[in-house]
Amino acid sequence: MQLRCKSLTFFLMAALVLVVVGLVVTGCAPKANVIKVATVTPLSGSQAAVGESIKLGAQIAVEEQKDAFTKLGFALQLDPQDDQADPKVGVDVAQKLIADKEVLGVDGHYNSGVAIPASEVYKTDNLTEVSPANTNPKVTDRKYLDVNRICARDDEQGPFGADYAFNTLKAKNIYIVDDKTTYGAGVAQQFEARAKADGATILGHDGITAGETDFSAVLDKAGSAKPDLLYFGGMFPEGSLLLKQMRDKGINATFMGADGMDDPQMAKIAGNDVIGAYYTTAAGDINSTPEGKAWADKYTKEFNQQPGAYAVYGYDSMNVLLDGIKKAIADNGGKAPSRLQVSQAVRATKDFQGISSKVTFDDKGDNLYAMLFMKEYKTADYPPAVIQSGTAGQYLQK
Amino acid sequence: MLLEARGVSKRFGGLMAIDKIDFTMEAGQIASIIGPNGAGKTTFFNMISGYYFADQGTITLDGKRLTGRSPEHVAGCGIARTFQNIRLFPGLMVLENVLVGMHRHLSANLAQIVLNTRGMRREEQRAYEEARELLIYTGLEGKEQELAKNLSYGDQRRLELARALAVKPKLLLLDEPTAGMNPRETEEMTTFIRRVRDERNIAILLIEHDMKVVMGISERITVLNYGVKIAEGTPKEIRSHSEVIAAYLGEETPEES
Amino acid sequence: MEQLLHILPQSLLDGLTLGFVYAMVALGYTMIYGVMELINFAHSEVFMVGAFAGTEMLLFLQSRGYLGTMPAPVALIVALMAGILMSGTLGVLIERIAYRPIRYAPRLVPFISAIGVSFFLQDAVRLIEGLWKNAFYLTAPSLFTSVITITPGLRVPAKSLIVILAALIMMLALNIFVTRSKWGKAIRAVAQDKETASLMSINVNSVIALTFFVGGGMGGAAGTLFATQYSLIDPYIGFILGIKAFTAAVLGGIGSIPGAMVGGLLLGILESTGIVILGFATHGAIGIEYKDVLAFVILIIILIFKPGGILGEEVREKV
Repeated sequence: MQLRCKSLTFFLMAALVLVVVGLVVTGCAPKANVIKVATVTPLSGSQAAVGESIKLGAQIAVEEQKDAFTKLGFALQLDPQDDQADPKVGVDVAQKLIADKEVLGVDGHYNSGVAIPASEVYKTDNLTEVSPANTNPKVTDRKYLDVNRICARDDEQGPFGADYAFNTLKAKNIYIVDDKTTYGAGVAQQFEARAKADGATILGHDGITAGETDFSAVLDKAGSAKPDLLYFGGMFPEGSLLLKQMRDKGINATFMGADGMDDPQMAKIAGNDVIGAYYTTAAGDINSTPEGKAWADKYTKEFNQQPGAYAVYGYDSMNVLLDGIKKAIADNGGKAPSRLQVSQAVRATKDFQGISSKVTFDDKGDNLYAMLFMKEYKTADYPPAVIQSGTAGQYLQK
Repeated sequence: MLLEARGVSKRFGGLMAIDKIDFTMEAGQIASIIGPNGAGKTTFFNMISGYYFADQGTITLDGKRLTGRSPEHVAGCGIARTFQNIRLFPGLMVLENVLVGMHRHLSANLAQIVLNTRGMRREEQRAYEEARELLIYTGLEGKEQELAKNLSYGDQRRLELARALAVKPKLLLLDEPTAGMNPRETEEMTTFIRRVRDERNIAILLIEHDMKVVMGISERITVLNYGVKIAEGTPKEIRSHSEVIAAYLGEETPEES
Repeated sequence: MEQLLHILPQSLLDGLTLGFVYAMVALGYTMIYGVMELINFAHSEVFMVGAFAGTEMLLFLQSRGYLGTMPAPVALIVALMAGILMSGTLGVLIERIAYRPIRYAPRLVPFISAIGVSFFLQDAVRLIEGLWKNAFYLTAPSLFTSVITITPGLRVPAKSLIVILAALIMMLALNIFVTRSKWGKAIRAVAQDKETASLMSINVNSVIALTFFVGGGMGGAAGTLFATQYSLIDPYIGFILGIKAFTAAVLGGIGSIPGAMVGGLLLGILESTGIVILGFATHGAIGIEYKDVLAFVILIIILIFKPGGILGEEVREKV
């Protein structure tokens, strides 16, 4: 009996030593030939569809580049993560990615509110991040070396919309509603500032709660102010209901939103009421260029569904990232680069030709060539037509 | 034989609350269980009405086995009871308390309720009249629409009885029906109990502390002490039973109260 | 001031419509609490499933082409039936699977069980709709599109009237059921004293199941009405609405059926009319975004002076 106990202890000790050694070996010395790139987007919850399409876009890029990396002596792997559109989950995922030393770059996030806290984690080890869709100014205004975006910013989107509303649509009296999120309130604020500067009268600015469905209180108030245009900063589920209920109440003001409206569901929910609604977006019509159309066809063939508006941005972000990693490998003499080297190489991206636009990062990580588009529903079909486009850079507030 | 208990036992932890009791009752009989506090009287009631399962022994009503059955099943077999501390549905009206008692005699199913069929309305009408009759019978006429909790103490006792009668039992268990009553009310209650038996032929089993009531109306008396049956017989036999007197010594002697 | 008077009638109508939806969902919380002393936090998902069942029924009628030929009220009744049956059955199943096995466990245990059921139902609906329709947002077909314009400031959409009318009828039916029918009385008896009720040969388990069916069914009806009123539904609509309806139940006095109705209407009116008035009174300093704050401040004030809620009994611990 005594003997058995002793041998059991010995066995357990030996097992423990083995496990610890194993952890140290795998943890500290990664197998030099694996490079992982992550996507972090909402893959579950109400925004799962758009998160999934970004991931699939990135997946195409990774598959295309796999052979090139194999030639360089590296096995390229995609590591898709789910942030559930939730800041807390986003931070958890960021910590997980930081701990996995094989991960050299992140394509994500989708929500600015998730990206901002998560990037504080990435910063601790200079894990570089190229965002396909974060439009909030604060994402890059912190001037982190490892945070970049290829899309436009809200403070460009808001003014772009305001100029169009005032100059082209001749809207003088404007009512503003936002959903109190970082994104929604951000766009709405920038819109309000520019519209005021242009000379429009802001009749009121109210908030709603995301997830609610009855907006009669805010609409009763807005309707009685008789605006020419109602601007909404927020996402499509609320935006399309707001539009529909607004028309039900006989409020005929023009409806304008930002890229949170950019979803096929918008037309389904609002039906014919969607006709005549405007929104600004950083995502152009992919079918407007031959390269874009070819890419969309490839995506459709591969996954048996139409690419969402941000799928191609997921693809371009991933390519910018992979391009940076390749340069960092070359700079490092063909060896696996450090995360810092990758961050520096990505930030140095200049005139990279993507499908959606060219990419050149400024010192903050904003893309100088990012484009903005004004879309109008002429019919109740998605996607609506682009009626004006502009380089977002001209709206950058220096 | 209406009620028959054979070798019934119940143990709570180390305490033998009921110890191998045999007990029988005839249809239409009035019987009492007496004994000092903690003798196991209420426990025995609870076993008959299905609240407690017997550890040993069997209880049958009209030859149908009750042991191990749920309270609603036991009630369905024809046993109703009242409680020492009155348990009405305080938030329901007096009439509704009685109507709830009739639950098993009403047949309306969900479909009929939804469709509000004529059959259901007729049955509702009949139940309503029956309930009013019971309230008149128990002297609660004119109080149909009051909430049960607003009744006086004596009326609450009466209502509990009316509700028990609404179950249309073969056997009615009354747990201290005269507790807290003045002599006049006690007298009325005693008369009423006898009337119920005579007019409705319902067997009645009482737990009672008031020896005048017990001796006055019981045809048979069973004496429990520490969970054991120590005596059984007519009032006359019990009065002179030496063990009974011994058990009550220091508490109260039957003659005194 | 003039502007305020202009909005007020419209705002009251909107508040009533919303209030009736709250009230119907609140009934489910309050009935189940009354009988079980359990807050069925999965009820918000029962409501959501009812909305999906009703909408799927309408979509089915639409796809078969019946929707255009049958009168709209008939279509609504068919959809309501689907919502009620689905949610009622779901309520019974939840009780059987998630609550009955732990009925005598400490109070927090069923609470955890309810949260689990909530998550399960949200994701189950998302999964099923995702596989079936390839999208988990559903848009209910419009049944009543006409709008009655009384004054330029007061436009009464027919669908709001339908919601109010249907809710009134259902609540009236519930009231008759609970006060007059044998089973309604049994539910109230069980709510007051389970043991004594069982002595009246009432099968307590059946009555609890029935309560879950009726409460769930009301939630399902509310879900269907909600879908016809707001068109858009997704698996997460139950969350905020459930919190509001639960609040309404507490406001009116949890456990009290008339209380749930009063609480729901009050909350709906506070949220739409109360906040508009407050906004004007403060010259816009308090905007619409404070409507939930206003509603909860009033809830707290009422509970300070009347801890049992407006129509509730004073809180008494059972011995």
